[in-house]
Amino acid sequence: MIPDQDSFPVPNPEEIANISAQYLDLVKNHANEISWLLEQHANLRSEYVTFFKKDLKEIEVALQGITSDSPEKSSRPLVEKIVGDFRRDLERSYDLLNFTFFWNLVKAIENNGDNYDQESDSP
Amino acid sequence: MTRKAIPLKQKRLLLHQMIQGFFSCLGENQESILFLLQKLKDLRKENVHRIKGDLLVWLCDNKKNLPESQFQEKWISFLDRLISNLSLEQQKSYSFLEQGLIKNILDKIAKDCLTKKIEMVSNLSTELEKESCQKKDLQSELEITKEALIKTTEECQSLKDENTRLQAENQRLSANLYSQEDMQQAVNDYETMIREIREELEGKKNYDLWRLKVFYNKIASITNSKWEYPGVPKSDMFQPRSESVQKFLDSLGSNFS
Repeated sequence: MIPDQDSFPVPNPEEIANISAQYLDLVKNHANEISWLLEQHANLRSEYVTFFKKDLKEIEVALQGITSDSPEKSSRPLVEKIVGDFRRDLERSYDLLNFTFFWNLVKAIENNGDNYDQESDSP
Repeated sequence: MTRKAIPLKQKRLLLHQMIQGFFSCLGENQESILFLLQKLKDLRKENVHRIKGDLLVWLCDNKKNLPESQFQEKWISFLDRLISNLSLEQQKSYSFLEQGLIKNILDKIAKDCLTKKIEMVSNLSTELEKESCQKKDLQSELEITKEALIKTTEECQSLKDENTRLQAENQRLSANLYSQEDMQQAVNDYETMIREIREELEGKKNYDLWRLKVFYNKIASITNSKWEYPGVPKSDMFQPRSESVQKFLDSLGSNFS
């Protein structure tokens, strides 16, 4: 995950200015990549919302047409299973964009290379 | 084994470079990631479409063919199994993507990132080596310049000493020259005086008898004689060119005035 800035000693104002300048420079130089990553996250969120607004609603309507009992009794577990599956599958795409390996590497540098192999934090 | 702690400044620089390298590698692999994201999305769409468009439609179509009492439990359970099976079937595609392509592309990004890091370190090392060589060259040049400066300073000091010596010599020679010139003029003055005295004595010219008297008195004083020149002083003054003669005449004047 992103290095915890609290783990560093408090830098002096000049150092803060330098670090800020470095990171602003980083954002400026890689604005396209950052925008692209955020865009992909936004696409996934849109897909999630669309699933709830359209697909899940259609599935529930179809299930209501099949079952005469209240949906809570008969089809609710099935709907929850469908939603769970969808969320799990959507998570796979998020995992592709999270680059855990990279953040683990960054974390390892922050920890002077200790526990890199055991590192399993994900963003 | 204890690891050597990375200094904070270097750690920050390293982190900054790592993130920079990561974004560069990410930019180069965007197409591949987009492709994989699309494939994952296709699988989700397929899942939803199979449930919504195929299974439920098929179930609705067959509803009227089954007894109402058995329908609900049986078909909901059947639908549940179908959905589970569909997920299991899709898991093969997910495994193919995740264990194969996704792992490879992520490994590639990580490898690229590390390669870039190594290249960056290598470039920095080369630059450092280059700068080190330049520094050495500069130091050598500085040493040479220093030596040349010391030599030049010594030469300058030597020339200064020589200049001082020559100035003193020049002053001495100028004084000598002046003294020589004055001596020459003094000789001329004395010759003139003697000639004029001679002319006076021979009656050819009226000389400054007053000065002649003084001159004679000086001689009388030196020789302890009581002889005095019996003439009458004249007003016209002899003006010698030489300083030494002038001084001599002045001394005569001060002694006998």
